Amino acid sequence: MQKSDTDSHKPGAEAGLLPDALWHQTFPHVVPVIEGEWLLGLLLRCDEANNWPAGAGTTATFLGRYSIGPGPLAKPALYITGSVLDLDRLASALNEDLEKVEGTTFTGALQRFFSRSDCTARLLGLTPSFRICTQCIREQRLLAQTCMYPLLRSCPEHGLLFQQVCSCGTRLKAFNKGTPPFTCGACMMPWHRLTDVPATREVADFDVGVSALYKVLLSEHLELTVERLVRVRRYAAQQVLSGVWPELPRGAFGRGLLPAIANIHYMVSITQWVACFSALQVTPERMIALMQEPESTTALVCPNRACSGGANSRTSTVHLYTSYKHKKCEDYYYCAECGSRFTESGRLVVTFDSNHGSRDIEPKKVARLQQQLAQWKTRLEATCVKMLGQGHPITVEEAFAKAHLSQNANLRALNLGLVSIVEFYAMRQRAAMAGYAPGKAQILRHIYSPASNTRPRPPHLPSISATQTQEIYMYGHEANQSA
Amino acid sequence: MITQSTLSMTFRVSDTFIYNGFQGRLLPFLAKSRAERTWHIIGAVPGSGKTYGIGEVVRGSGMAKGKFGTTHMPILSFRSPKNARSENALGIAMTAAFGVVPNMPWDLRRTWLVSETDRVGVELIIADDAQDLSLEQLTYLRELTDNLEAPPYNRKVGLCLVCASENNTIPLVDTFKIRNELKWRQFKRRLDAETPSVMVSNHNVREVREICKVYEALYRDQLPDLHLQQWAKAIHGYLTTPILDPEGSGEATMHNIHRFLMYCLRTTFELKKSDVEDSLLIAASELMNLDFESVKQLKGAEDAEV
Repeated sequence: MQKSDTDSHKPGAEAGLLPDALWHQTFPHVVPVIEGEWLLGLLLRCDEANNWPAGAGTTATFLGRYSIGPGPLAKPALYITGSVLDLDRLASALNEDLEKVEGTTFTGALQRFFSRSDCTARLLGLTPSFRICTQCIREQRLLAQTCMYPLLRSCPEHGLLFQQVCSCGTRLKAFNKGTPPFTCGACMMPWHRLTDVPATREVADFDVGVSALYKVLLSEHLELTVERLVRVRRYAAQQVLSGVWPELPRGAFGRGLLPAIANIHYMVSITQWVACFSALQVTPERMIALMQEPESTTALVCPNRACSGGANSRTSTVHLYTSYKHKKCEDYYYCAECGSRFTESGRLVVTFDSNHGSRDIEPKKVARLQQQLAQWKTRLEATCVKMLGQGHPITVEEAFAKAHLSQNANLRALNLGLVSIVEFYAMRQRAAMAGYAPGKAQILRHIYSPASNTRPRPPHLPSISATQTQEIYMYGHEANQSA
Repeated sequence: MITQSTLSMTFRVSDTFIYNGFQGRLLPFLAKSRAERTWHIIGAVPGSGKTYGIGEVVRGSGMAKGKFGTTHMPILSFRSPKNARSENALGIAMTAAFGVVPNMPWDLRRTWLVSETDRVGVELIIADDAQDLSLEQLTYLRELTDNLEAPPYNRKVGLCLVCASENNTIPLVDTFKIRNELKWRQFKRRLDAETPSVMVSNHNVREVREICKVYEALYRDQLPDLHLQQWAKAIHGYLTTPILDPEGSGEATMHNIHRFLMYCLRTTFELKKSDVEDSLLIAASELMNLDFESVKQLKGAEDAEV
């Protein structure tokens, strides 16, 4: 008769082996996460290691929070944030840290950059079609995150063009029914046998530079703030004015460097930022310096004596505003309380209050502005009523745009009352939507709420037309090639 | 409130595996089946410790999951599905032995099972509660092993069907005797020629004494003067009554021995004594021999007179 310790002969204690207690909580074959790997690549390696039925995207289906068909399951955009998958379960099944598994997505980087918890793939940029680097596949079965950087066309590690199409002409897909992972769905050719296509020197150099910019933006804690956005716009305008920037033809998307609608700053994707810095030939170091310049802690107060956000106010209501007009870039300031605009020296330029107490602005101008304000209010109210009747989600941006009001941030000042009008009708619309079928939930999400207007918006900068100087383009390298 | 002092006052139960007489007969037999890749039907009375012993065999088989995808599982052990007679139910029970496995259609799962069984190096398949297996499920087991034995795998695996016995017989063996259809005959033919079926017996007095000796060693730190061996014969007698040994085998199962001793040791500890007294043994025996038909009433405390 002997008693034996149940753990004495367990092999789980040896190095490199999982403890026996985790046997039933993990996949039959676990794979480690590779540095720089993309989530979709990790799922494919899981499928391959465990020999799941061919092509079913078995691991991805197993982890899906919702029922997703095989077609949509292969879409690369799903794996940018991986929100449709239960990453906690994946980490448990692979016996990996959750942070490591989440690191295969771009969620953490997007959340850091945009300071918001709900990030979508769009914030990274337009997701490219599924593509691979043949050498990465050959060496480690690796689908690197760099494959999903929209501006890149080649692997920055190996200098090979990303492959999207098999040699048989079929577009590569992540999951192909009836074929093993890492294999073409039509001809069954393993991906690692595809022919390598080296990138040209120009493309490779460009991709290396852009890849460095992406890495910095995605890894450094560079929170996107309104001031930084304004600072970059100003820098871009200065580069154009000083002639440093070479002429570039219009980009594929025909947009400016940073779209005018960047008033809602989280609509500027990281790729647009990278395109901006790349077009301006800004190095990563210069970019970090530009983005990390100390925030202007303005001690200015609103010179409008009628404004409650003046010297007696505890918190500053003054914000920076950059004007580009007549080939000049000038910094102005505006008050988020009364909507007045003034220079750094305190010279009042625009105000809507008659008893502003300043000699810098004529009473006639103030009267004209007040009249204009009244017209704006009437127009805005009519627009809101119309939007309410049409069931169009009422937001400040939409209402202002439809009422042909400028998107300048000073017009959203509290005392002007324009935003209050939008708020009023938005609340009515929201109340009217309550009790509707779940299909209306999307509209409800878009209706204005006061919380979304707590931060002042950057002023609108008109895009620089070609007749004035040079145009600012996005994705300029593609346009370069087409030229 | 739980404090350190109250924790130390709590009786600690040891989870050490005890290699008792029953395990000493079962485990070597399983090891032999694994080594020689033979097929057997193994029977034992319920409460003998079959499942416990199988678990110990599996843990000590050298199974391991590497962090880089390598997995070694020499013994594939599963519990037969209850109230489910389809092959798919058996397939699900078998795949669960590998770990977390996604749902997949049965036709894909059966193919995956064959390749995966070979891949992880299975040498022995143990089916616990095999008396619940249906003919379809037994046929599938035969098909699985046939596929493994054929090219390209060329892998011969042993099979042990561990069943609960009844009235000194193994129901599954009786089924094989009675049923003469082709599928049953095909399966019967695969059983080992020398020992196709075995009945593993439980503990006699000598083995009960050895178990008591082990318990003394395990719990002497909590009960310094513990001396159980002297009561071994009495304990054996208490545990072989018609209620606890309905088949009249004259042997005590480990389940009953453990329950009996745990009650005695825990109560002795709570009474702050250092050794088990004979009165406690009698009380434990009465408790364990309670007829299941007798229902104990749980009543509230009497109201105090106002």
